[in-house]
Amino acid sequence: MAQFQLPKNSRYTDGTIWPKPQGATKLQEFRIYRWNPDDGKNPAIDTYYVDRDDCGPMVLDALLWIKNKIDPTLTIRRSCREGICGSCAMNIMGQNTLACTLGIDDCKTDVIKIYPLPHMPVIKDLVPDLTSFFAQHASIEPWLQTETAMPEKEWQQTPDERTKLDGLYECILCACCTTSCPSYWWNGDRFLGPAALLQAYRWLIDSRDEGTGDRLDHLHDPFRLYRCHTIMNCANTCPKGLNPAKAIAEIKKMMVARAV
Amino acid sequence: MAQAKLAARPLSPHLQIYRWTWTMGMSVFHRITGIGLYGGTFMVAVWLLAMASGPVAYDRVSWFFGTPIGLLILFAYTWTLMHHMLGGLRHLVWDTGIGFEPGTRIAMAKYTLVGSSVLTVLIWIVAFVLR
Amino acid sequence: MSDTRADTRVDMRTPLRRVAGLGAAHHGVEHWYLHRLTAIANVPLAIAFVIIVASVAGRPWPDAIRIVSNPLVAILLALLVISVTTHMRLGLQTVIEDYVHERMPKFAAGIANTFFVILIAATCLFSILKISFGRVPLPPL
Repeated sequence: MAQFQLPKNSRYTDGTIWPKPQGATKLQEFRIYRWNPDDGKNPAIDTYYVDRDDCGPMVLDALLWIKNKIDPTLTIRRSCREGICGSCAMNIMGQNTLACTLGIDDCKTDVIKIYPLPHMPVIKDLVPDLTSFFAQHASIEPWLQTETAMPEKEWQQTPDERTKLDGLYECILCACCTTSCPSYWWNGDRFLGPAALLQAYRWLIDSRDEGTGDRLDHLHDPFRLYRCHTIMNCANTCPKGLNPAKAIAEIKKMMVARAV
Repeated sequence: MAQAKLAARPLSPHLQIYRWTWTMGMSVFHRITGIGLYGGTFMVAVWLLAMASGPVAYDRVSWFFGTPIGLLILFAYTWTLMHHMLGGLRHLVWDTGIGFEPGTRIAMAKYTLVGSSVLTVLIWIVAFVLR
Repeated sequence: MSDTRADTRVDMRTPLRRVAGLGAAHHGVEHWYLHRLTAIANVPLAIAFVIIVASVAGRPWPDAIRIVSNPLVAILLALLVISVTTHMRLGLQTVIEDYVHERMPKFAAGIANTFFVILIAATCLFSILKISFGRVPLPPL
């Protein structure tokens, strides 16, 4: 049975309330999910107070400020700090997004709640295990497949054909969309999820690719593709403004087009 | 590196913390109304079977659906049918590949709820007026 | 619950093997298409159904028989039964696939779904035929 409730070892309670920084006038409260694999306890929600005058404008700045000034054990993934690497994807105020592109002021709330990406095994604190996510992306064979002999210079395509890739190639594989999908929550072992399917579509409509039939065969499965019920959480949450739901609808249209 | 004892990893919270949106809510409603309609076909079968059995059986069934509880069930079933129908039309539009823009998809979800409520009330008013 | 951790005490398959599963089943579009086809058919048929029920409601049995045994009404109802039961079987099958993952409960639920749908369809179709052709005495005009 799909687990709507969290398993026993995953249920969280209130954790430590960390002291407020001395002499700060403008404070922002953060409640952050913590789990330490070494202490044998269940997860907890710790409360931190961040001095806004000492901290940068983005949620990632606040997390790093907490690490530097209050609690160095807070564990997160981060790299580019500009919304292009996808490392800092997490659930902030109930929506999956990148911590580095979300302004603290844009949260418009007294308490900013931060959780790891939903329904994923947690390695530590806000770091989920994305092994399966990346394996699903690899399984759709995200590279050009051709049988025709290699051209002298490059595989050519018209500007119109190139336009079709817009809104698809920009995906940074941050996993926000896939982990926002309730279908992926209940069937993440067999459903590929919005990110992998968006990339599958990227290769399906690339005019230079010759493996379209095999790609569609690979997707033709009641679980790999058809667990999508157009719930639309993916499109609502993508921090890059992409639309996996639309891409998946186009794949389904291709499935019908070749069957009729 | 020493063999570290791997603690069983917890599952991160999902329904417990995820922010509900119009599209997510209406998707759940579409499923719930579908299941409701599925169960309700039992009533349709009973009604038709009673009609085929004769006046005694039919009058009994007809009487039940005329009681306050019966009317409430029929009203709820009408709303369930209208909501699932409009939701279905919404999904059909999406299946053609249109209506995915941020404003449009949320509006479509909202109007499913508004439309189904309005249609249900309209149907019942018309049914009573024409009686 | 999808357990995607690379816990090699339990599962030494590579991540790619784990997500590949048993391979693609190579079916799914037929189910999807039929579900949409019956959905489209259901719209006018359900509207007709609401009108028929509203016309019959509250009337005595002879009137109900006269209305339902009308060829147009009987055919619409029969088509509705076929389209709706097909649609609801496919719909609930999807719901079962979403939420029930253990083998025996999944098969049991799927079989129960099909049997219930067939029962409803048989009952309704039999009733419509009986009302139209059966030995139920036709009331005087």
